[in-house]
Amino acid sequence: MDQIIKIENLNLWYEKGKPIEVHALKDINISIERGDYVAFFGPSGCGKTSLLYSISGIDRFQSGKVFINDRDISGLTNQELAIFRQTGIGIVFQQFNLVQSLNVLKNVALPMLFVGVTSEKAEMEAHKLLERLDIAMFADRYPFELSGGQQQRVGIARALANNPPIIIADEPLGNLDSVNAKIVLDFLKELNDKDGRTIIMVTHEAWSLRDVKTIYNMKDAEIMKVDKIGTASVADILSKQLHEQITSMSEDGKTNINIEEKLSTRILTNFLLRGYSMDEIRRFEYIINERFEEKIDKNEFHKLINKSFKEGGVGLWKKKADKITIYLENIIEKRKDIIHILKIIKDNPISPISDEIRNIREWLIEGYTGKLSALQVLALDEVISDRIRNFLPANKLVKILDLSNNKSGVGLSFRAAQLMAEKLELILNNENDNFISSTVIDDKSK
Amino acid sequence: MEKQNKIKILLIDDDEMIRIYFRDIFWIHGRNDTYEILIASSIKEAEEILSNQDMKPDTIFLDTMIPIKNEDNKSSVQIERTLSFIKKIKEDKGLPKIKIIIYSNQKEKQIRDEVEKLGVDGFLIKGELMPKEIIEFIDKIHNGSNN
Repeated sequence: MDQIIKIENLNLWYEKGKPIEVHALKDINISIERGDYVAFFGPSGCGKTSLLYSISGIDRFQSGKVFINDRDISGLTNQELAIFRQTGIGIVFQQFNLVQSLNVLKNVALPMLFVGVTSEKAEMEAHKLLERLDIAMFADRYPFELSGGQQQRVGIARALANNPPIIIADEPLGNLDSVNAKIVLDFLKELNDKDGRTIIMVTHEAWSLRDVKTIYNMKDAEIMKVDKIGTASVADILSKQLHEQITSMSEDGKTNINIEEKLSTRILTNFLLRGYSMDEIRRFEYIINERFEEKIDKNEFHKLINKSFKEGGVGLWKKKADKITIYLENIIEKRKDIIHILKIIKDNPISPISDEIRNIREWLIEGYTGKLSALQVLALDEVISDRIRNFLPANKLVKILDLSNNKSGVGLSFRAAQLMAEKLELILNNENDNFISSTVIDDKSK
Repeated sequence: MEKQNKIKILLIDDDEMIRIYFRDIFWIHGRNDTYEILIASSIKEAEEILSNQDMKPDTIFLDTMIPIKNEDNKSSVQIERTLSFIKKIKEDKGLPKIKIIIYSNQKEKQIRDEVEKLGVDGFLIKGELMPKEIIEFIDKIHNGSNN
């Protein structure tokens, strides 16, 4: 592969020489290969968008060079820059930036008209792009008549209008729900894989790095680290655990939607009610994952969640970080118990595991303020055993815990059944890691 | 590809934006290793390029309606000047076999018939080509050199 973009000693200031001067990019040196899928990743204000717009010829930098196919764009005239922006780069915006007074077809055709293509030809090409994005049925509609996901697909079609070799996506998933975010990610991947286009995405959301091949980690106007992604990579960890689990296809499509809605709603509720941002929650999910995979120990976990968001942490108060660390370590210990039980069952499926089940049950009912009858305890042990042996599916767990005792259930209140089911799932299955952040924040931030 | 081995394409057009656009789409799509794009704003300028042995193009893209500066310094469009330029190239045994492609917004049948009679190798309407289609067209006529 050869270089399509090379940046040398790039520096960009806003309001240079004024008291409010901001040094937005500091000595950036990078090379991007043709056909790469790159992310500029970092917190708000780290300079990633400035870097994106310097490459696009939108931001004029004060020093350094940006080479596109070996030509320095800092030397381009305004006319040359205009041609470069219109035919070399397609930009997908977070806010879609569609022209509200034009219908979908005309929005997509517009960039073609700017380079002298006739309106007849432009509309014909625009129609092909809408078909590719599976939105041809909306050709005559206006942007305000479409959902966010549909508008973003129009935005992508428009970015492709003049068939640019470089696609720039500026926080493209920021205004989308998880279903539409996945559609957009799939499409960006297709543009990279099938068309061979170079994709550059700016994001501060770890899960949108799913298909990225190179991550430029940015902080305070500098590139701190470059990650070339292999197979068992950061991207896998981040995306598969934080995103694909949410949107993964189960055999039962209905279940899938329920899980997705449940998780999204929970995260959103935490965000709205507890004052945590989506970024903090996602960061938190990532750190928990690191602990589960034993990439960090208990102390590092505590330190990280206590650290400020700017420093790479979650910014939890020390007391809360203490509580959460204890809670998580508890879960990790219980997971080990489960692994032990599963080994016993595997060796001999009819082994009695009543002691182990009792331990799990006692842990489950810690903090439960109600009183369980002897019959309920028996029923609960049976449910735990069935769930561990996988005789009882996860999606039936709440129902059976909630069902009255005389109907073969445990007879817990719905809220108690929910909490206990979540707690049990936390230790049962790595696939359910997503539950953790919401549960922990929900329970411990009180 | 070394400079001397590149395929030379000469565009003759009086519109500066068209010249920049035509030249830069090859750069933008990373094809400057295959093609060298020469540009001329008038037939006179093109003739100067043709007289230089090292700059002889393999293909010429030519607008039919190129204004000519008269003695009174005013410009006028003379199709005859374009036709005589084509004829001269096609009849000049000293010039290597240069392909001539008409690249114009002129759709008039009469003009098309006249240039075709002179043996031009293609007739393209500017507004009917997407940027990359221009490159694809050239790849096609220089079959085998496309990559």
